[in-house]
Amino acid sequence: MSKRSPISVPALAGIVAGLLAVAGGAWYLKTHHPVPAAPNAAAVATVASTATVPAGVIGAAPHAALSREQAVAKLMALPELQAWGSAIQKRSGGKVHGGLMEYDPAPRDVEGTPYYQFTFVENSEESVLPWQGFLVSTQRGDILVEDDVSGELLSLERWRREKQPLQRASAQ
Amino acid sequence: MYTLYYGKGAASLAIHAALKEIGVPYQLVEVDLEAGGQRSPEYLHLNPDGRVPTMIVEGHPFREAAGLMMILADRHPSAGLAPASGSLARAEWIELITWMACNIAAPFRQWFYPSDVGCCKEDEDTMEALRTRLEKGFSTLDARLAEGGPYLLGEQFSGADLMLTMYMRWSRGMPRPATEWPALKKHADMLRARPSWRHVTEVEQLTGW
Repeated sequence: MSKRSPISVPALAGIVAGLLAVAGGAWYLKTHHPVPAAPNAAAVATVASTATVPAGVIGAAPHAALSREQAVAKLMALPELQAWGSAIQKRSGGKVHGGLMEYDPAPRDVEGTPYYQFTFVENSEESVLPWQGFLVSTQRGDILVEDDVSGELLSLERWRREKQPLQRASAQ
Repeated sequence: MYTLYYGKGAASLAIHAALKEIGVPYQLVEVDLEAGGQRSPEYLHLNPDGRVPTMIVEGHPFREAAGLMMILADRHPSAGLAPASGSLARAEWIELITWMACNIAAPFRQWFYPSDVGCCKEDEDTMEALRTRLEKGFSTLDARLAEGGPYLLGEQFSGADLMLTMYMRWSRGMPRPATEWPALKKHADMLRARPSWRHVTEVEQLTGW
């Protein structure tokens, strides 16, 4: 296998996100106690009802009105993610955390609108277990939820109505 | 429409994920490997080697996972499974897919099916040699990702990343799973979070990642 040929360098936002991904970077949820950095996380922030941003973790997609950090904050404010994070942490005695991982630094185009792409994960020392994918519009911040089986993108309202995600916290 | 004959978690896994990445309609036909479905006369007619995957393309069966990834990348250039045809990056991608097929997939085949080469799992020297070869391969890929990730081609995701994720998954029961290499673990975590991988995990009902 030969050495890699030069790869074109994308925009700054892409690099920042790429480095985050390389470092296993994720944003984490805070319940009642400060959460120690999970083993997989090089860049970690904790949030309660509002999100803070890991130091050095900045960036927005080109022409985005909403930064990645704002997108993360919007997701982390969802009651479902707060409940999931609390349940994961409680169940594991604080060893495992819920978090958000940007699985592709390139925004996804949905009918002409770019969206940041995140997955809520359960992050332990051994592995990252994906729970749910979310898209956040880089323009207006609206949230779509990915249906893993059908591939459909659901509105928050439809997701809540059809999937009843809050029940997952108690079922796990 | 493509038809993919797959076994749960087998060498069809990356092709299944690639079809999801492309977004074209496809039909899945499960081959029950534990029940020996790959040795049924019907399946052997499609795939005389008795292996998965087999994918039907315009009525013709094609069988090798690495080859299928290249076929899909050629037929769906806008899907992002490979760099642009004819580019230097595409040549690098082809080399990478082939390298992994020879240096990861081939020893894995012998690791899981030592009888293919007249061996058995009790032959410790052979199994140790296979393990060493696989670990050397994973070390090479880990170094590549550490130097210039997050993807195998740097900033650009490709079908090669799906192939690597599949190979890493196969190693989870080995003495040293691929996820014990730091850069490989980060790559696996990132790829497992992708919608296509989440989809195949759900549909193939995979457990233990």
